[in-house]
Amino acid sequence: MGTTNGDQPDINLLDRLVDINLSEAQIKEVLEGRAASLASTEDEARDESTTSQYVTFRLEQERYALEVCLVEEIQPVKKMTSIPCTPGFILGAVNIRGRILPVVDIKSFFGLSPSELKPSSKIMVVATGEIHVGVLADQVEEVLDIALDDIKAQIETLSGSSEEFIVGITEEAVIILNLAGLAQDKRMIIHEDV
Amino acid sequence: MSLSEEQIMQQLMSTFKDEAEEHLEVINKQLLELEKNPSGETQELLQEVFREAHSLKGAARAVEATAVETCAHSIESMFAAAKRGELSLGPAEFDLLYEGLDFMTTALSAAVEGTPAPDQIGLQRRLSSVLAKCATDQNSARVPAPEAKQAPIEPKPSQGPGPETTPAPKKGGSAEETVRVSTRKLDALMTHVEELLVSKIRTEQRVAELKSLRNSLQEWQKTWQKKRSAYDKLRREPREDNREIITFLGENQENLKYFWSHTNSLLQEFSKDSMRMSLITEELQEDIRRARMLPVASVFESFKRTVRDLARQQGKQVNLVICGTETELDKKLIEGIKDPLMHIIRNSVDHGIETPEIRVAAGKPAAGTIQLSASQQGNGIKIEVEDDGAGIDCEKIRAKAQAKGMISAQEARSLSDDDARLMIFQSGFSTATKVTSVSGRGVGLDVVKTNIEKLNGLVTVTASPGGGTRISLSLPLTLSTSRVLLIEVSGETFAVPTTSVERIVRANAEDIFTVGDKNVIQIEGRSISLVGVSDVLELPAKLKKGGSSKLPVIVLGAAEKRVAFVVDSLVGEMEIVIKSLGKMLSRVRNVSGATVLGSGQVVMILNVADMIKSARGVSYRSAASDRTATEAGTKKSVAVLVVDDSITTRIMEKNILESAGYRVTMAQDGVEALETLKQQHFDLIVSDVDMPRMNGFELTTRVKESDELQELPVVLVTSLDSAADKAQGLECGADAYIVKHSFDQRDLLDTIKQLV
Repeated sequence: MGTTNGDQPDINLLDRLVDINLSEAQIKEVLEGRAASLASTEDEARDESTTSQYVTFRLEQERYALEVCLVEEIQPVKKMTSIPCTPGFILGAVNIRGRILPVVDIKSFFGLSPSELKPSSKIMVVATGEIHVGVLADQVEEVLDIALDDIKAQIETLSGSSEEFIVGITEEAVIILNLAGLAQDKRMIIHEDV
Repeated sequence: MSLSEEQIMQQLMSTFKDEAEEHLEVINKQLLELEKNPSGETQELLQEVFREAHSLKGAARAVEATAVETCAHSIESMFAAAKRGELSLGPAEFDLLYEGLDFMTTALSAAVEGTPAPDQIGLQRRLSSVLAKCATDQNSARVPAPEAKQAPIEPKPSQGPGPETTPAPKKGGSAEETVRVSTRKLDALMTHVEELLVSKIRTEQRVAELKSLRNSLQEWQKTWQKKRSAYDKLRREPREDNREIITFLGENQENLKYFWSHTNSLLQEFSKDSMRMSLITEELQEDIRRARMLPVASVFESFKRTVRDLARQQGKQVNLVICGTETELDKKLIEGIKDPLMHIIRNSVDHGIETPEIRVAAGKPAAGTIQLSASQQGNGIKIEVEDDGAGIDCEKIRAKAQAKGMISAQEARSLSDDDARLMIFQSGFSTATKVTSVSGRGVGLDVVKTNIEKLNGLVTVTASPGGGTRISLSLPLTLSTSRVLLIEVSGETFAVPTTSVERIVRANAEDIFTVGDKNVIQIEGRSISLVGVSDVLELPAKLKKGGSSKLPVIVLGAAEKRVAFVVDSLVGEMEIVIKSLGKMLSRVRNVSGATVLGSGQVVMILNVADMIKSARGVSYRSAASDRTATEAGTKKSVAVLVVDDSITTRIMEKNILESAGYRVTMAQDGVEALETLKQQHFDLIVSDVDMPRMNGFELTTRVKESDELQELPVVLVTSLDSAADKAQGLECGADAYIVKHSFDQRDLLDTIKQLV
């Protein structure tokens, strides 16, 4: 996944050190310095632990966001096969490297007018617990650092049960989705006998 | 880091569960063996069973499953004492040991689930008292040369280590090395190989394309040969203005030769590579498929214990004879047949085998025999349970089924004996005069059939030559592949397992009759109800072009029921790999799974048992009746547009309106509502007032100002409960104004009813 943390070059650093023939003591010194700086970034990270990374995506005018760690991959929409006898928000199933993945339309699930498939449409493969599902996006936009403080818990008009599906909304009107809540919703799990 | 520790613990637990189950199974099996020949050469068996108990104890200690550990320790001590000859294992001891095993099985699942272990004080006290007794026996028996006492029972010298030393490794050096691999990993491998199969098919497609490219080049060359004389003539008499083109044609001749030979060798090399890849891929698939296979022994062995306990409980004598235990089946199938087989065997002991007195009176041996066998048959596996008991009284079944209203008198008369026997698998059927706690007949047996059918299997019941009953289960070798018929319905392709397809016909219009509101088709003199696959799957029916063409009809059967289904067209038959739709779609009506075709296209596999059940609710609509149905449909359903920026309110209103029979579309603000209104026709708007971008007042004003929409009723639902707001709402033209405080669904529904 696309999270870069800039702390990779440890091995390269060692190689470089060996290349320029430093004495062992010198290497040790450099490494100690390195260790100290690593330790300090960790401290800083702890201070910023209230920030999380989110992938934002668009469905018509609305912008939604999902936590980066939930998104396994993003795929263009290939041929989708509809699944009979399922609710309308289940758009169908796609083949992701041999695995069958159901694809849902969040807008339709929320009861808004259903989204249409566009050439730019993408499927975000997300996983929570044992549930794997594709989420349709008109466009996947960017990865944003969002501080928890910046997420308004609720829009005033949002109340009651929507808390299960939505973490909150940001200043820029990005709706942060609660994937675990969505996946646990009774309507999302299809288990129907004839 | 606590999370990963938890994960490690979880992993450890699941490994422990597998291992402990294995130990328990072996101990169980060996105990039965020991019990059978109490006077035989038991020393070797005792040694093995002691080792198993010891390993189990060690494993339990490692994961701190104390209850299992304590019990395993006591059992281990009992075996150790028996091995030393200090404890003789009689019926009471065996019962206690079995009880211990059962306890450990329960304690094991409790440990795995993290729930408190069951109470074991009583059991532990009894175990301890047995051990204490043999300890005193040991002391008193010490004096008369214990070595001499041990010698005759231990024919082989150096038979394993002493009582309390570490056990030797389970298997000798010659045994194959094994690694425990989770089925999840095997499933993942299988998925990758299947994807490789898709690539293989695509590669073969490329070979064909390359071949046609080479053939085109060959054609070109032939054409060139024909024009050769014209070219030669041109070359001999060149004119100044076409000299250049003549040179170019000469070069082209060389180029063509070059391309042809290169394409040709590329094709040959590529064909070879493709062929090799195909071979290896297929081998790989077969190997992985085989890696998932287990011998049925693992399930069969566990029934020995069931039969023993049941027979003892009922004062019957039953021998369970097992054959074909080496037959291999897919792990999923093995798990799937365990419960159904258990029911069948319990039923055999409970109702099939008679008490010794009755048997002797009937001239049979006092002990009954149940034979459990597995064998490979063609592309499948056959598992049979045959008993030499009293058999099934078919007349009694006919009478009972008729009395219960399950079949008519006429059906009862025409029912064949085998079909009558099959009735015992119908739910709610029971011929047992008393329902015992053990087999609970009628409850268990219908589960057998459903479960076996879920595994694409088939159940049949026949009379065995000896007068008893033989129940056969036919199962596919693996769950993962199946032969299917591909059909096309409403523009979509679906797969139907060929095992359920009884017949394919092209029906004429005159073969179809209407009985009541149902359609019936005559096939070879039999009337079968006819429905459209599109109706069952709730898909839009495709309008038929012309009326003269024959309808493709497939007759599908599950158990005793069959229904004819109209399809749009038949595509073909093929072998496919069955895939699940995932945890989210754990059970979809009429769909059992999906598969990926060579082209990468996903195709749904239909669930025939479901379709036959669903077919009862629908009937095949001809084009004419279809039209009237849709007309009636539009007349009835009123289209409502719900506008609200709150998801909760939207969904709540949607649910209220839909359950009242309205067709609901939603928009989240005034702007989106106006957009939607341009695209679709609506009969009514229900809107919130306070919304971003465009509020409800403005939306109402816009609607009422518009030429096309001004007749459209608007209901404002809001939390603004001031007289001024109400006035503003009505001023801008709203037809009704409902305040959320007083929001009650009757209120909304009544208002809407008045307006449309």
